[in-house]
Amino acid sequence: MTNLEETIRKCASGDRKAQAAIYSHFSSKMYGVCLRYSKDAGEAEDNLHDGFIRVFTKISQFGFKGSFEGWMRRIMANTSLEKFRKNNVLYPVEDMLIFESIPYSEETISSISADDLLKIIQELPPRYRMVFNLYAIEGYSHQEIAKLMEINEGTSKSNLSRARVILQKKVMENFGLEENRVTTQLC
Amino acid sequence: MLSENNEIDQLFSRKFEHFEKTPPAFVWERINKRLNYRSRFLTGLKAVSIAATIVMAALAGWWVNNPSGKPDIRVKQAAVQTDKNTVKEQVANNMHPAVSDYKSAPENPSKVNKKQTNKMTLQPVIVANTPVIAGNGQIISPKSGDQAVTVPDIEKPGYSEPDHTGTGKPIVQFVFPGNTDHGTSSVTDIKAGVSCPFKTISPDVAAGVTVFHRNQKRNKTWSLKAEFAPVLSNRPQNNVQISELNSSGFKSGNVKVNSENSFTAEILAGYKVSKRILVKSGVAYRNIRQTGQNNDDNYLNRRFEYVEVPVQASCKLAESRLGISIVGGFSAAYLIGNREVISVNNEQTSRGKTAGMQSLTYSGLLGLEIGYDITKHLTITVEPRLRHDLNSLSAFNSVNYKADHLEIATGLTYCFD
Repeated sequence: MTNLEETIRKCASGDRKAQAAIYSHFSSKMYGVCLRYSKDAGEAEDNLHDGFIRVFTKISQFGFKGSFEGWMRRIMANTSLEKFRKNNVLYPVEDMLIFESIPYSEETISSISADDLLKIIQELPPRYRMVFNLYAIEGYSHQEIAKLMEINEGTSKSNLSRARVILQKKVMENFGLEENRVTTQLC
Repeated sequence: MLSENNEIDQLFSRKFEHFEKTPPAFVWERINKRLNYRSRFLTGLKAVSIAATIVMAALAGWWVNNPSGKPDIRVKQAAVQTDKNTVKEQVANNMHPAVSDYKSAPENPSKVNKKQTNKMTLQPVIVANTPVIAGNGQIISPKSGDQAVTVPDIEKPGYSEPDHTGTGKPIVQFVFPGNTDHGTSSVTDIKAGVSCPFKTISPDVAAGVTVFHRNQKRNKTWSLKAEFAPVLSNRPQNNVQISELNSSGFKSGNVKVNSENSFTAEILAGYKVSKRILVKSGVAYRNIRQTGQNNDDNYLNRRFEYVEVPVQASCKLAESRLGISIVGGFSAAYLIGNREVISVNNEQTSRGKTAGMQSLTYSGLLGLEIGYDITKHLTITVEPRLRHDLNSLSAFNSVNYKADHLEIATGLTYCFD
């Protein structure tokens, strides 16, 4: 895309070619964001669709003060969060494993692909997935997460902690490492 | 090393930093389709808004000129006093004494006026046998064969009551004796706004002036309707996946959800734009209920509540005490209530909301209204009608839920004069 600013301005005036260009340029990155927030590809596609509709509807509000990509990522994250809030589903309460991790080698870490981790993160309960994404990957504070998700900060911290535990366990299971010690806690 | 919690954060953060994946091609096709739809919708909305604005402005203008809402003829008499050169207005049911000189006056003027003005004609009712001078100095004298002189656009001193004529101006007639035809002739060169528009030359009180307040509004133009309708919806939603309900004891798997009978209630204001066409709009409450059952005889109950703004037009096919009209229209419905309850072993648990419901939905309707006039103002109506959802109730692209509804509305309409 040669001139992003001009394309954005055309988009704001409803230029369909400019909209196609924006989609073509950013869709892969935004799909990556949506995949992280969703339980599967189907939900991610719905969120990507809704997110882009929102981008094209509100693009005139983009003030060119920061990164356009960052603005789009926030819209995608917010779209996923809103869908989560609307659904407000009850999900199964799992027995949670609390364990201590053992050291990984750098070699092991580098052999893990993003696709592998995506599969693991999508298996998290929805709220844990949201909190982990917002905190660990997007860099939001617990205060901001609490406001975004309409929960309190303590819940955010607790969800993050549990998400980490589950992720650690699954990383160990999936990459052939044995658990050092396992206890069970009902939450 | 992943010895601490934040290191697993770093692992994911690092791996997802430049993570990209090409979405399936159909996502863009869906976006494109939605943008086209949105573009058409916005264009349509603009056109409807402009049309509505024009119609409302025209109606407002018409209403300002015809505020009282029905043909209303009032007869006022104004006596012209020569000594003071002023005009005093009298409101009377009977004729001014000067009129009595006119022996050939056929009947009581007020009766004549009401009767004749219903036919929207002006007839002489007051008799004067004296020439008058208009404010601009023109002398208006009876001519041979003249029965009356109509003086438009006169502003009379001391007359502060607002005008209620179709044109916003009083119509003043001078009727001269010796004529039996009761025709009307006009003087058009008298300007509006003169402070003392006319005076008599004769030393006697001789002129009688009848001011017709002519109103051309149609009878019973505005109406208010309240109605209630049970709603039968036909669209069953098959195979709802409710595996997420595990924790509440509702077994996972596919559940067939059926629409239940529900109801709608509405209040509509109507405006009669012509003899046969009535335009209605107002506010309505609509309730939609669904029930699902799984193999264990446990139930899922859904309740949706909408506030609607309907816009309808009806065309009268038959006009008598029993009126029949065809009704068509559309409505925009805003979702205000959404809740799900599951019932396991007769124990109910609130489950929150149904996911992905559209907050705004549109529907079109077509029906037949049968009305019976109970009194002059009150009509009872029965209106069987079909309603079709124009867009899916679900925001999920994978769910295309458009229901058909049969409504049997019963209502009361009050027509204002």
